Amino acid sequence: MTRPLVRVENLTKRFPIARNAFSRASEYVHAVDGISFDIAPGETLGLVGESGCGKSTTGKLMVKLLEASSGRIMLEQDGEMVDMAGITAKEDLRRFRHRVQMIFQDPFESLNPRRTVYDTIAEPLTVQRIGSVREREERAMRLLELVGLTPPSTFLFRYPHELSGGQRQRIAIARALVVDPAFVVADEPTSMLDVSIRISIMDLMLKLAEQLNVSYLYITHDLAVARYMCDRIAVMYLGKIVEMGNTEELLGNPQHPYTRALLASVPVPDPSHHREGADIRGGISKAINPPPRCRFIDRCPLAAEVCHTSDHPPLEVGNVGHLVACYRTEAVRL
Amino acid sequence: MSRVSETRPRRLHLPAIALGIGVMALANWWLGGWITPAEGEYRAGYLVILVALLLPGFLGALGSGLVAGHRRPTHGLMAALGMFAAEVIWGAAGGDLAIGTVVVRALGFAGGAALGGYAADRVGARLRSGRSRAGDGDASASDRAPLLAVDDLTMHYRTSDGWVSAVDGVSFELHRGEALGLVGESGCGKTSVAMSLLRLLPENAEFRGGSVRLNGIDLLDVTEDEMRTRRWSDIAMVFQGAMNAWNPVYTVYEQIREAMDTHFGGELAEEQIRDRVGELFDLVGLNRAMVDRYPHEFSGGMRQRAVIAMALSCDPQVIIADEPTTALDVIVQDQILEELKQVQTALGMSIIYISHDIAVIAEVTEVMGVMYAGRLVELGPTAEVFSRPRHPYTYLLLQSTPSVTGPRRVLAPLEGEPPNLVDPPTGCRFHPRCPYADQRCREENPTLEVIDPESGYGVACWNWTSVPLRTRKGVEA
Amino acid sequence: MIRYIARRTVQMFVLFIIFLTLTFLLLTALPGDTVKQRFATNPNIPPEAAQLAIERLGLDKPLWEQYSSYMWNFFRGDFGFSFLQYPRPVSDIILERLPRTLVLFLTVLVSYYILGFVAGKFIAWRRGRRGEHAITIGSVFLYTVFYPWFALMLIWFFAFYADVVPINKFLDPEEWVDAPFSSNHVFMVIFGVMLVAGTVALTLWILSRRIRDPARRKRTVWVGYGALAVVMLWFWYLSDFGSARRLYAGDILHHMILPVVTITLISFAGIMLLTRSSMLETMREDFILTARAKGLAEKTVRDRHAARTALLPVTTSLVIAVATVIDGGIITETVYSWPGMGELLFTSVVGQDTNLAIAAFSFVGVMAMVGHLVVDILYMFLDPRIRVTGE
Repeated sequence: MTRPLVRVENLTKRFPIARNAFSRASEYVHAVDGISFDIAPGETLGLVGESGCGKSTTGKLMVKLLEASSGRIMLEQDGEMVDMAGITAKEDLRRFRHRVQMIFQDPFESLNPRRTVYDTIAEPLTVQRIGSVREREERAMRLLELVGLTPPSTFLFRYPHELSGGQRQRIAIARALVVDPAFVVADEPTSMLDVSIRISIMDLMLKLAEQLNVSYLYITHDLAVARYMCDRIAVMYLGKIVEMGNTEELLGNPQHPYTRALLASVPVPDPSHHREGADIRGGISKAINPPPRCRFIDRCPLAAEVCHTSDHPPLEVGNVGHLVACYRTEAVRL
Repeated sequence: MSRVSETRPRRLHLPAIALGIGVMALANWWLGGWITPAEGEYRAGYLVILVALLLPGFLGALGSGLVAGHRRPTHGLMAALGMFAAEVIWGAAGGDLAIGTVVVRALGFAGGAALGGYAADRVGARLRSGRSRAGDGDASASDRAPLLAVDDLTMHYRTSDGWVSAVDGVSFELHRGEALGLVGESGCGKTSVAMSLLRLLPENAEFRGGSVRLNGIDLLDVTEDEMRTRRWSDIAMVFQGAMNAWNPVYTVYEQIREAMDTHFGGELAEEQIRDRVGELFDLVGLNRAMVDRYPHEFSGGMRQRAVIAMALSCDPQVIIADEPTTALDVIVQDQILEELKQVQTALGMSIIYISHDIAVIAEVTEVMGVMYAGRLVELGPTAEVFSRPRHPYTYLLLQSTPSVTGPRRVLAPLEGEPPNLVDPPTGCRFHPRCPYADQRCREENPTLEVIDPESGYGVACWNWTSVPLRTRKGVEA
Repeated sequence: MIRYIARRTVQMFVLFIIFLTLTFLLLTALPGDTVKQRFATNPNIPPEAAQLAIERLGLDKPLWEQYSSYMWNFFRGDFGFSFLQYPRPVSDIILERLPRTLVLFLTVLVSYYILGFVAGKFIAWRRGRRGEHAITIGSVFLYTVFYPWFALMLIWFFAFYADVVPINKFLDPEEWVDAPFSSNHVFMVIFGVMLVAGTVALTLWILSRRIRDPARRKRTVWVGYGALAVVMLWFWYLSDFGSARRLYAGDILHHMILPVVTITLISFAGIMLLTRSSMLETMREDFILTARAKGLAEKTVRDRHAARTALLPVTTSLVIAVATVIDGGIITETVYSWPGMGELLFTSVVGQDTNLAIAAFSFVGVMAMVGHLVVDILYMFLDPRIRVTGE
């Protein structure tokens, strides 16, 4: 295996539930609970799960919009793996932001309405003190061309409200890529867009990944989108990765009962396709001071004695070619 | 599930009572001394009073009964009662009249008013039955006649930039027990169509033509009061924001009850309403004990189930489900769609699904229409639309929809963006994005043309024959 | 609920001690003091006598000792005596002033909140029509007008020119010449009646929330209010106690009309605009659309759904308004010669009457905190989403 670009080890984030000003919090939401994964250069890893599963928190931890409670985020830098979780010095953070960028879900919220397209795209360059004003402008033009907003000069000094949703998301992508990052966290970048525009944005991101050798952490709730975009998929449930593997491998042969339920629930754009319903109980809850056993246990159709008495199952290579966190994978197969 | 019988409401109607009292006061004023017998002429006087007051009583009650609306004719009797009470109070408190005079006067008013009220009831009942007969007649004429027929619906919004042509010549039919889908991107007019059916449009909306016939009655033609009685009892709606469809300060029961109170009048006893809401909760898979909870105590999926229960509460003939699962996670979405399908089968309900998600439409509908830029561009049986789309937009939309099943494929993106409807493209509104467009498409507007009379399949495209057959694999990877 | 109130009370107590300490320190830190002014710099008083007075008042002791003895006395209910109105005890003065202020300003508060809320509801619902513009312009004009001038104009018009209300003061001395009660006593009675009636009405409303059937609930509430009205009539007209005081209470209420009208007119625009923006926000919510789709009458949608939900932020602003009830507003009390707490606070601070000032401030503080708690509890009943944390 090639050297990873990003390596996450035991990443954990707990949010205290504030009681009031006079007493300390004793309850925590375990939003992200000891997850680990690698991303190779140029690879796209999809992080899939329902709302509240911790996938967006993971994304924010990766770009240091949130500070991790514990764990390590290693980033390849000049041939070495450097831990980014603990850096606080301004200079380090600036270097970090040069390598890691983020694209947000809502293109209507993520662009400042009072700044022109040029201001938005060139801002990372200004912060990173790259190039002269002229060079920045040239670079912004090139990026606009790259994201398909041509001719760039007609877009450069427009304001976000003059642009459509798809165009705004292209601007957001241009802004993320202008500093030539190696790694981009994309948090549901197409979920606010219309179907007919969604594919062109996804194609654009794939094309740019190849051209600029960028790795994505692609966060989405939509398995069909993840299948289209990602080389590998990690399925999250209540702060834990429950299954991770190559996209086709995982979707073709899901092992974890949660993945199977998720997959069985996705509507299929084909009326002739008959779909078995999902085998799952109840609804998603919150991981507030969860007991150490399997998080999925209350909804699991296969839960057995071992699940109740043991810790949360480790993410291991089972009998299949990908990683699963479940004690009952044999039962799944039956 | 039992249908709640439609009987007349019996409740106080203040305007009716006020009118009755007003007539009484006027009569007292005008007839003044004449109806107050002088000393010694009681015997003859009483009869005069009784007769003299029958007429104002009659007219007052008839008038107030009709004022109260033909929907609530019993208010004529209410007026009589009001007059009687007012007269007694007035006589006892104000004038220094002999008690006999007071009673006789009150009886005179009330007698006249009772007759007037009865007359108003009869007139009201006749008016009402005439109207409902008209509706029922059309419905029973034929089972094949559509329940809901939307014809050439055209609706514009006034904005500071000009008129937005939001819905342009949309026509479709919904039959009893059928599930129809409308699919399209945001701004294509699908929600505007739904809101037009209920006439719940913002103030800047204006109908430019067309009709919405439910059982033969054009909903765009009836008065606002009439429309209000038809909302929810004829057409109910499951809204997009399951989270926000509930008012946070009232319990779910109170909010369902409110709809039932409005449409069944006051004649349902508390226990009956409670039973029915309980039944509805059972039906949508919620625990009966939850009815008295507040919306925030429900999860997203439970709230949407409760919304469905509320939509069913007044026995609507049609339910419009506008993006019923959009805000929900995929597992919950699946459960809700399953629930809606079951309800539809169990109650023989007619449902219009509105969604941007073509996969959802594929799963739950039998007939579907595709909307683009305010127009219906394709309409036909769902299976056929998916297997053999005729309109280039539908074709490209299907080709660009990712799926978790089937072979992995390269999706063909739809170039460009939907047009600005303040100034829509000439001719076919899709032509700037259409790979099959020619001169004619740019100049002439294609209307929905039925190409298969058997299934009623329609497409609005000049060049639909150029659209290739759809391969299951899409463009091969 | 009980636990919540208990916890809040403890917090309030701690807060109050901090408040009192700061007030004490602040006022003793003021340069110069009354005693020195009165004795030490007075050439008619021999220095030994002045020194003796200062020693007897304990003002020569270190600050810490002064503070601890003040606190000790304070919590035993002894607030000392006033320097300015020597030798009246402070508690006596406050007890005289407090009911006047409370009666006037609680009435004002209720009336301008109700007017503001109703007007706000109305203009939000009829947005963009002529009525909205007229009301908005008129009320904002009143809101921004120079208040003392406006008050004087109203006094000139209503009290002098039209002569329908008395010019100022809170009573008509001629009527009170041989009154068997002091005005303070009557104020207390009025305040007591307001308090009891208000509490009963509020409790009735809160308890009625438990009745599930809306029709029955409405009936119960109206029967309750009716009974309350009957009791009120009985109290003022039939009971010996009430009927004896009715005319005097009536005189005070007559004097209250003009100040209440004035302050209501100049203050309701704030509440109105708040309600308006809150209503406009609520009206965009999906549940308003749902309510319309249910076929509810427009009036029901407006009152039951939009206005009821829009009431929540308006209630929050009540917290701030409660504090102003106590301190009263010096301008109002001056313009209408209505000597209450506002005027007392002002003169005591300017006259450096430390004892009186601290006690007056601490009353304002206590009332503000209690008002805050009441609003919070009220809010819990208005917004079911809050109730969970209350349990």
